[in-house]
Amino acid sequence: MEMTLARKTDLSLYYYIKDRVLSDFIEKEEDITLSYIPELSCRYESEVYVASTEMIPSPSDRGRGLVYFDCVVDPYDPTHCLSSYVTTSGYRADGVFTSTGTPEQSDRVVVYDSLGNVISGTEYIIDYIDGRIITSGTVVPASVDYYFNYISVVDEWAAIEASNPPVVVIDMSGADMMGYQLGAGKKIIRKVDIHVFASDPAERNDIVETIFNGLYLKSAPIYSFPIGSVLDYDGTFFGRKENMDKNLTLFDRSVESGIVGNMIFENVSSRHVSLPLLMTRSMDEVMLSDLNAYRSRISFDLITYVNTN
Amino acid sequence: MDKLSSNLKKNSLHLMNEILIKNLNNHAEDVRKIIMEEYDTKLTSVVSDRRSKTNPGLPIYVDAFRTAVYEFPMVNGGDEIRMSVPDMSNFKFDNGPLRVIKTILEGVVGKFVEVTLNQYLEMYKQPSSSLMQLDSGANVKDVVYILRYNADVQNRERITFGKRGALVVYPFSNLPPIDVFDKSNKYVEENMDRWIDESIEEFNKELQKMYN
Repeated sequence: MEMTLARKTDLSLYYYIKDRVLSDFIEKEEDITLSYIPELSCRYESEVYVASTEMIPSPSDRGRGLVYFDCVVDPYDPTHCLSSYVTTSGYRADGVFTSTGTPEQSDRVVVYDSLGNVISGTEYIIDYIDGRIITSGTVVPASVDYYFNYISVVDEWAAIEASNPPVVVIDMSGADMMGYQLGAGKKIIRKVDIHVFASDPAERNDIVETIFNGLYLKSAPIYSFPIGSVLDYDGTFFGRKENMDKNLTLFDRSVESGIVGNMIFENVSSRHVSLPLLMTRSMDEVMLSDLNAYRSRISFDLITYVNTN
Repeated sequence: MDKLSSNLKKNSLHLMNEILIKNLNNHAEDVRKIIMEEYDTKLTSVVSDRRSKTNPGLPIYVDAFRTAVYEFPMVNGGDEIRMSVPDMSNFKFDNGPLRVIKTILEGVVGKFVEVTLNQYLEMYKQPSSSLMQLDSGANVKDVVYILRYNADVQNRERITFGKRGALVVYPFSNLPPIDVFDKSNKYVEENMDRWIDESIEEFNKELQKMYN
């Protein structure tokens, strides 16, 4: 069954927030030792290595993960990205040509052998969620440099506790629909709240302002996800398990047909959420966890115009 | 002639304001009812543990919330007439029971337990520095803390009250925000134009009566 428009909208918003709006909140870890995991491996067929890091927040926390797209580097300032992903033409995992594809990263995760030589990306696949390198036994990876998402982006409240702050929760609630033109067509208004959980007020303010600026007077495309989302169920780039050529497994950015323009963000507002530190039914306070200490909420209406009923 | 026209204008404006304020105040009553219905529907049925002291269905919370809703200035007269509906940013949760409600409405992450003042003292042997700042007039048996149910609290609970423990799990642990104001805001948004039209109609009728 094809994804519903609600699911596509939800997923597109998730990627917009994670890959575009929060693209500056990316950290680099270098020379991280890779440890072989025999329990998950099958000798000479699928050998699994995990990056052992003491980093907090952990790159493999829920909603974080390694960065799976290359950015478009500013030729005048190589430290600055002009865009958080590359768009090119090529083939998707199912062999269909696309002119709006994005390849898997080529320089965000670099794997080395024990002599410090770079191992070619065709020799392994990456589990971007858990920070694992999977080879077929032809090479022995020893260490890795990688970029990871510093902010955990999740889409359910229950998942917040599984990560250390900062955590961002995208909560899309009910929708209203109404006509907007003579004949077929409807305007869909979805209420969205983004909850921010940070580890201190400065971090909270940075994240809130970044997200607010990314939404205010902005719009974003609704992708059609013809063969699925960017990552497969096991955290690998979609299609890479079957095809080691990154240029033949592009993520298709073609937009959903039947939608007029992009999804539009309206009535964007934000406020900090300060819960009492201790409380009673009369006049005292409550001790809450660190996660609840520095919170904020950004609310907005997500508008889409659909040409059909 | 100018003075007459100016007086007429002033009187008309005054009459229009009066009618609008009266009508909006009548509708504000419906808005309050909607908020209290939402409170009943979304909050009072959630808690099943009778021992819970943070059950928003308890009279102390319902009364405090109702009072705050009824005291909220929805219709403000003056040069401009404004109708404001309570929401999480403008509603004042500034006393004890309302703070408990605020915590429920904002949602919390993690598992928490309710600890009464006596339980706290039994577990920790001494009040915390925050505890020292308690309202001296507070009824001690009403005091309830909501503590994160971390390893330390679990250990102290086991040592103090035995393996079966005695602490009540905070019923809104790890629950997302609950919106009791959204429906009333939508109700006002959807009806405001009609209410203004009705007021204008009433004003026209009054004006006809006055000058016929």
